[in-house]
Amino acid sequence: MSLSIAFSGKGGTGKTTIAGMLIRYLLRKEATPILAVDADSNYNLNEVLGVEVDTTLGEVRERMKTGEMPSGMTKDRYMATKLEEAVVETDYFDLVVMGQPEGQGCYCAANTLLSDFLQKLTKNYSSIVMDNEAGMEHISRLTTSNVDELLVVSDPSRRGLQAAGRIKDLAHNLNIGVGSVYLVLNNVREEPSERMQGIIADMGLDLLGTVREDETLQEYDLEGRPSVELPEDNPAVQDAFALFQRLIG
Amino acid sequence: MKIAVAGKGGVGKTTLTVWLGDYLAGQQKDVWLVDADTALSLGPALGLGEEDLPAPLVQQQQLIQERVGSGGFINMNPKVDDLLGGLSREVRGMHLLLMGTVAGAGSGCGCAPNTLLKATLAHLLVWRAQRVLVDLEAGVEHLGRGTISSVDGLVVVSEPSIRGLQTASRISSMAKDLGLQQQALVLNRAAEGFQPPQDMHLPPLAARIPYLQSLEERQQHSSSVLDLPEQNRINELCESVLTRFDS
Repeated sequence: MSLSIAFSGKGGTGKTTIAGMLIRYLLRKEATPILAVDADSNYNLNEVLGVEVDTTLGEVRERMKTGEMPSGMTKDRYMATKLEEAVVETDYFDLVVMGQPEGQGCYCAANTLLSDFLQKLTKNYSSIVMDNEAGMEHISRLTTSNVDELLVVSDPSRRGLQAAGRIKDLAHNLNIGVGSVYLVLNNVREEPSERMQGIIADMGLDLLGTVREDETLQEYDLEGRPSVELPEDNPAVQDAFALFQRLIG
Repeated sequence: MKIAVAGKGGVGKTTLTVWLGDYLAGQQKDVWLVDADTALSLGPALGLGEEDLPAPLVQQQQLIQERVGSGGFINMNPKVDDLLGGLSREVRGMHLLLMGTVAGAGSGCGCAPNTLLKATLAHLLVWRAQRVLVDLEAGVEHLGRGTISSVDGLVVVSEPSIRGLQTASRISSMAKDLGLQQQALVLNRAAEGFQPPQDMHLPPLAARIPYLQSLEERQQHSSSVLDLPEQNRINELCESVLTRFDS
């Protein structure tokens, strides 16, 4: 059985950075092979992980829909080849990027092929880490497998927590099963105040842990350096590892 | 004037959209604000409580079936012009419309709600003569060429981080490819001397969002970004952005 962990949250709360830290944690735990899925249309998990992306699955889907393809090949075969090519393989993990959302028109045929592909692909891995945007559209439209843990990331702001609360409700309305839903409070300067804890409780959220605001991490972000290269004794990495340990051991 | 606001998550798209809307409404313009970001933060940023938000369009199952159909035949061009009033909420002289997320479609066809979303957005942008501001999650490519040709301008918001700027650059170049040439860059949380790198092909810099301590403190316990003490600076910012799109 593979372990599947998904991230969501309002934009800019650090979900991609924390997803990158989880991949690093899973590597250390040797929960390999690992598949990373970037389902955020403004994708940048690859940048956090320090790998280049040539093609996104969304681009392949678009080509499939517009019918651009070489002659002498069936549409399905061609699509399958292109989808396989879109998997970025590294020594440590594989990565697929969903990329652009659906355009106008009906995407059912292309989506069926894409979800079949994803279903087969995910079977090959022990751990799957998915980075989603707040609407979790890709996850709900394209995957049929369940998510074991959903980590909703928020900064310590009311709007971030409101979005987190809504995501939790949304998770229960998805067609796939979602195991536990936890809140991760990121970029905190101090332990959550009583007022903040009150907001968290109001939104019906279950706090898994906090990750400290960290200057080195911010510098890495500013310069575009992959945050997976942060030293392991970095306070933010330490916080993230501690909460992953609580989650999966 | 119809303007779309895009950029990486958390850079201040929603805040800027609300400020621009409030500024235009203050000039007695008829303003429509469209939340096309699935985090649905635009309402809260206007100061609305969860219970005061209009229902997201995508949750109107009955409406979708009625207009677009479900399974079998799907009407790709549903009539939506009469829907807008009933689905929006008026707040401080603006109309707020939420798009929402297509979830729970699972293996079934999610095209019907998607079609309604896009038709409604297209209707607002193409046919209505009002001021429309759309807060986007991703770029504009999912809107389709026809709709994009009615958008007057794209505001790309970014922080000075490489990741923010790369996203801005990607959004900008895809929008250009689709014919949306009028673009402006707004920088947030950037030091005064910071200049965006030349080689990233970003839109021309229109304005910088000033650092407002009052906003930072407020965000911890309140969602609203309106009625800040620094209203003059916010007005200046809105003016610099909007003059870019005066036609």
